[in-house]
Amino acid sequence: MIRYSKSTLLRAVVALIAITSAVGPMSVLAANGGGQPGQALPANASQAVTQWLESNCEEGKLKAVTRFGKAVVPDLIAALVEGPPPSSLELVRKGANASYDRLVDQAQRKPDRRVASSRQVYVDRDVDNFDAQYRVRAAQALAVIGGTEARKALEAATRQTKRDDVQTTIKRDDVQTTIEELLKLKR
Amino acid sequence: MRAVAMLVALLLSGTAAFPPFAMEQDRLKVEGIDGGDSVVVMVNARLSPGTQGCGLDPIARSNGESSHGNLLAGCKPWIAVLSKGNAMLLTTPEPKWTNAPGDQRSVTLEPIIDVPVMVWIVDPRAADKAVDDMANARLIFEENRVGIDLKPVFKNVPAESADVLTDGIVITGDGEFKCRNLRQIQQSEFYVESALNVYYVRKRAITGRNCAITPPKGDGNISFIGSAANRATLAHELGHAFGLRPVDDGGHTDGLPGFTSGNVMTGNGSEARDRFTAGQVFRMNTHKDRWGGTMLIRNRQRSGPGIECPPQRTSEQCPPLEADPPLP
Repeated sequence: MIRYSKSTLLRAVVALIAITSAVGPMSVLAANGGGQPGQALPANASQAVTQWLESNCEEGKLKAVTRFGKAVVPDLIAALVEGPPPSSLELVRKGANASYDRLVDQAQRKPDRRVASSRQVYVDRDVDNFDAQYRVRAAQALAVIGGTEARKALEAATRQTKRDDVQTTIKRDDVQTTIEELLKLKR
Repeated sequence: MRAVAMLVALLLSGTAAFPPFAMEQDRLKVEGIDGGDSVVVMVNARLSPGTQGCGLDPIARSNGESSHGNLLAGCKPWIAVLSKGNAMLLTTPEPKWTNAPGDQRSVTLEPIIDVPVMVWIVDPRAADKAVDDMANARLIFEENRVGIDLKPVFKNVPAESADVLTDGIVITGDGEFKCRNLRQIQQSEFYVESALNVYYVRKRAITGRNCAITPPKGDGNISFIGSAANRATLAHELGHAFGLRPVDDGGHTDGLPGFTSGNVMTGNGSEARDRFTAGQVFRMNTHKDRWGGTMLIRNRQRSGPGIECPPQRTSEQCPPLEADPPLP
């Protein structure tokens, strides 16, 4: 479950610093357009990245991102480390709460359509899944684009999630496993 | 005096400010509405003289009787009625509309179609989620008058049998997701023919996938729900199972005119997805294509042969995908 307490935000910043340190100067190059300083990321690239990160049905959307190559790597690293924007998470939370109300109402009308989870579990699960999906999508795109920066970011992410003594924003073991699988695919 | 004269003039002019008298309207009576809810009525007919006159009358909501102007003879007329408690009715008016105003036709709805859904819990941690997702899908289908009542049967898959099912959906080297091992799954004890089979698997990167489009031979009765699924993913994948094809065919509604991010077939976004349009519901009940079309017809839960209406095709037989009644 993701909560944006001060300590969590602080950890996110620490994680971001750690990864950008690991990535080193090459990320600066990428941030400037894949080694072409001064070139801003095209608007359609940002849109493609957002669509991919929030994708609920994957077909075709990954290629729409990876065709931009290293230009989108900084955005993807940020997504991997920071997760979705708080506004998106809040939207998911509100939607899940409203959905739960409707399901409870339905179950009262039609008992065979019961709800198995408590409100807390139902809402947190949707928020948590959205967060995890966002980061995994970022990892997937990084794995496909490849290159030094992408690999270092992915490796840094897996290293951090393996350290029990370090709280990171990537909490779920299955997210970590997926990133490891993605790394193996590219070897 | 002047007011009376204006009123007479307006009536004679037949402007929109004064719709035709009730007697001049063609009317449709819908009988057998379960639960007395309002229904959505789609009428395709000749709306005006000439070669371009065939088309869809504005979609109406009705509590049993609706008016449709003066529908004319000709074209290939059809009537579709969408209801919360009945199957979608698709029929031709009998007798057909005439050029004379005041035609009255009557149709009778049939019981809702029960669709068995085998929900295979491959990942035990998804058991409660599967129940919740199904409740949500059933609500979405009901509220949007799909005419289908999903009848789930939840079954746990033993751990020793989980691998072959979990491996039915894989991530490939280029990062795309593919269904595989379909034949193996079809021949396993964890597959029921002529039913929708949904597998809840532990695959972090997967939201959901319907396997209709899987060369060389897919199976729309197989869907996977992964660990990244949100509450509407099941309803979305069932939309694919019922013939709303994905991206290449325009079945995903992201950015399409007339659609919001609240549409179930939106492929991305953080907002709630709980709406199907009437144009989508029509296709879910009728669609025919080389991938097996809607599973409703393939599983013989609805009589065929179906109509080829890919999402982006609008024709005399196919209402626009975005066609929808005004909100109540």
